[in-house]
Amino acid sequence: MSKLLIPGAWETLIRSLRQGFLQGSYVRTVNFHNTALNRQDEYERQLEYCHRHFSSVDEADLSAWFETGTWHKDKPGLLPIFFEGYRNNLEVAAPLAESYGFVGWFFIPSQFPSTPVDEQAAFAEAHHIGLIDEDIDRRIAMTWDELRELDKRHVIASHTKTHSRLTLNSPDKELRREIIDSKLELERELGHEVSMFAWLYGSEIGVNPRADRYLQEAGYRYLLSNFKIQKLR
Amino acid sequence: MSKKDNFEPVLELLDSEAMKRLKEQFERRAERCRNKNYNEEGIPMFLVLEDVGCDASGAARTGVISGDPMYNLMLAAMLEVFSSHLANQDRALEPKEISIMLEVLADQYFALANPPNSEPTPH
Repeated sequence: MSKLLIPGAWETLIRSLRQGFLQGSYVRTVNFHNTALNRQDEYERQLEYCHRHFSSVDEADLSAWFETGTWHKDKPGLLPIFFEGYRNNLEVAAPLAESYGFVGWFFIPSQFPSTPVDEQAAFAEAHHIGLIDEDIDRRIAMTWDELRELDKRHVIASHTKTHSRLTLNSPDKELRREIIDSKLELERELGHEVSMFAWLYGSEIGVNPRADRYLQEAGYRYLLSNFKIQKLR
Repeated sequence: MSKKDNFEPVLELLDSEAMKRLKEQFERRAERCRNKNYNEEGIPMFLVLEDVGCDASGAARTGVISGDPMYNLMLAAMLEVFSSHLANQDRALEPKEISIMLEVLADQYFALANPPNSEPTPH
């Protein structure tokens, strides 16, 4: 069974994506996971290229885009997205993003920063978080202090609590933990609202109505999925 | 699907040789995307912006309207062409295939859109 789930028929999804393209209702992203030091030059070339062609998008920009229906900057918007909360994102990617004027969007499984350093490799292996050779025998995840510092210039979002995927049969207890508890934990540590959520494997609204209700109950504004950024409220 | 909902007339304009070349190019790009190191590379992608709330009539809001209309039409048409290429009457498209289609579009056409009111840059 595919790990990527969509709500309904593939033709319906294609139709909605086509409509989005036709209207100009889309954004560009560059999706990162590990950002290895030995690829730093490659990332810099990529972000420099993006800087020449695209504008940064922060939460206020995204909100205004939805509210007004128009993009207010000269160049199209682009979100560099960093998944999992790797320390190498802080050390390698964030400085590059900042040097080229981009707000990064960091999707954090909220249990990962709280995991003791000597347990992080095992946590990563057990929860589908890929590792790289550079991170052998060292701390893998950003600390909460580092995330708070990153939060001053970038956007922190929830990537569930345990880097969890959504299934049709996900129990309510699990849904509450991954959706609501992760938001509460991030907001407690960061001191402000966390507006966006993403599942492992990027399920969107409609895949599991129970999960959708928990997303509404938690108060998320946006859901990031494989194909869309969906505004929930 | 109503007549105005699809791009079949576009596909009909392509003769067999043109369609063959288009499919070959798609497959080359798709293979390039499949072979990327998702754990370490930055993967370009398009994400549609969708407001899942409803308007007063109960219809889903369609989100923002912006961007370069010609470029937008090109993306929509290419999505249609690629999905028609991959799908056939015997099977449904897998979500992963749809994801690859968007990655191919992003990989190929990420930076072709020009800012509003600018002169077009050569490809």
